[in-house]
Amino acid sequence: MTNEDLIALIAKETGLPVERLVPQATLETLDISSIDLVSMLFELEDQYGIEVQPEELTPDMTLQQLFDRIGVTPSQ
Amino acid sequence: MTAPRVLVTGMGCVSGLGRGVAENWRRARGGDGAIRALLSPEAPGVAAWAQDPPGDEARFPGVDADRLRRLGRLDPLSAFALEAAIEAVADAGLDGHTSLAHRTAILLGCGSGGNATIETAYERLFGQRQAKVHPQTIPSSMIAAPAAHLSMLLGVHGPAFTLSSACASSAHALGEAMHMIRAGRSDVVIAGGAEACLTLGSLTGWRSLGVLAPDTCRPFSQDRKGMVLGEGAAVLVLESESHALARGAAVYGELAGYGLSSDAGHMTAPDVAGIAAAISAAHEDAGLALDAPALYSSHGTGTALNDPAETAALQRLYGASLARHRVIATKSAHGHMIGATAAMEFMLGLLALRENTPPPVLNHLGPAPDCDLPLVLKPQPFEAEALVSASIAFGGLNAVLIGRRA
Repeated sequence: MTNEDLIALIAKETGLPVERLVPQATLETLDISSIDLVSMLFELEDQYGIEVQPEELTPDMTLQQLFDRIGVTPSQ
Repeated sequence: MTAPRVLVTGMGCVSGLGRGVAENWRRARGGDGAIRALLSPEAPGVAAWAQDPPGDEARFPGVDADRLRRLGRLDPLSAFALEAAIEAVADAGLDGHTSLAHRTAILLGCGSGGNATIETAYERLFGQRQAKVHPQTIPSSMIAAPAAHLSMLLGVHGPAFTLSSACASSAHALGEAMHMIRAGRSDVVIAGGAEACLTLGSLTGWRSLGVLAPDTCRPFSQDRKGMVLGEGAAVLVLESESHALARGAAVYGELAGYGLSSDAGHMTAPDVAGIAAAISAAHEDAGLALDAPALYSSHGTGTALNDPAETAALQRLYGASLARHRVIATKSAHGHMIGATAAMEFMLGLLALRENTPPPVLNHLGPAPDCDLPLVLKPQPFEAEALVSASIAFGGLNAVLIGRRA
């Protein structure tokens, strides 16, 4: 999974425009609702087999930290 | 104190006939029906489905993207309802009006919930044997979702709920909405119905019941073979006369009466006395004489059981004066839109009343001996005093609306 794939997945599940999904943005500043977060984790597991527990996603977590946690590869 | 008159000040719809009231009315009035072959080998037959929707921006014009995002996943059921309601509210000139927040209610009729969402989840569970379904399965598919989504989108803090009575759902919704305004509980009610039932599971259920026509919908005709499903939404803005006048709203007509009955008899076989009782009650509520020339918008499904029972009820109730009325059956154009159908039919009927041009009954092959009615079979002018729009639902749940010119 590349970070581009992850950004596309987050954009699809949250309806947020891709340009707002920058690495330094936190889940809190992005104002992602809990149901969207759970939906995101569901798709992550369903499409990529990557399991992340909801409690791991703290409000101050940045997208970069999420990329690191998931272990995405930088896109070309 | 006299109850306020309830006026129709906005309309919106989406159906197999197209997107928006103008296109739907143009096609219905001109006899250009929407029933066509389903292009899926899994679901043979015919239906009147709404064309693939445009992207959200075109589908929900003028809607704030952030507000739309907060609604979460929209089943087609909610998307249809929102599309029709946004058109209706804009048409009424109520966009951003101060009355939306606290003097407005939302009352929608749906026959079933979000079929597509439920069937996707069940396919994962029972077909693919997966352990999990999408987390938004319940909020997206619940039958209350369209009312909730609409309240969130428009910022309506007053009463908002979904009402369900099968094929009469949106007739009950409009009628109860009328009473909310008459009782002074709301100045404005955004009322109507939505249905998104053209999914494999739903279609198969209907087909198994043996009521779907293999060819097309031929209400009150010889060689009629059953009903044809449609989908979409129709939403009206109802408003107290004083509220509408105070803001100089344009008015389509009046929702002037509402009659109800329950057959308490059979789940799928309609009862002549039950139908006649609802129509009679609606006339009484509106103070409309039975012999006043009326445009009768029938339930007219084209099934073996509905059409003769509805005919017999009209003959029994109206007697000799039935010849003064004219009968239309717009399901022959937009299909049976289940929870949305009554609102769609009332809307088209009110436009026909306003323009004295009833839309013709389509696909009629000749008189059926058990359906002797004064049908409108080709476009012809008819000046009615009122519209009588009937819904005869499974379970014997009957609701009839009366419309008048403003």
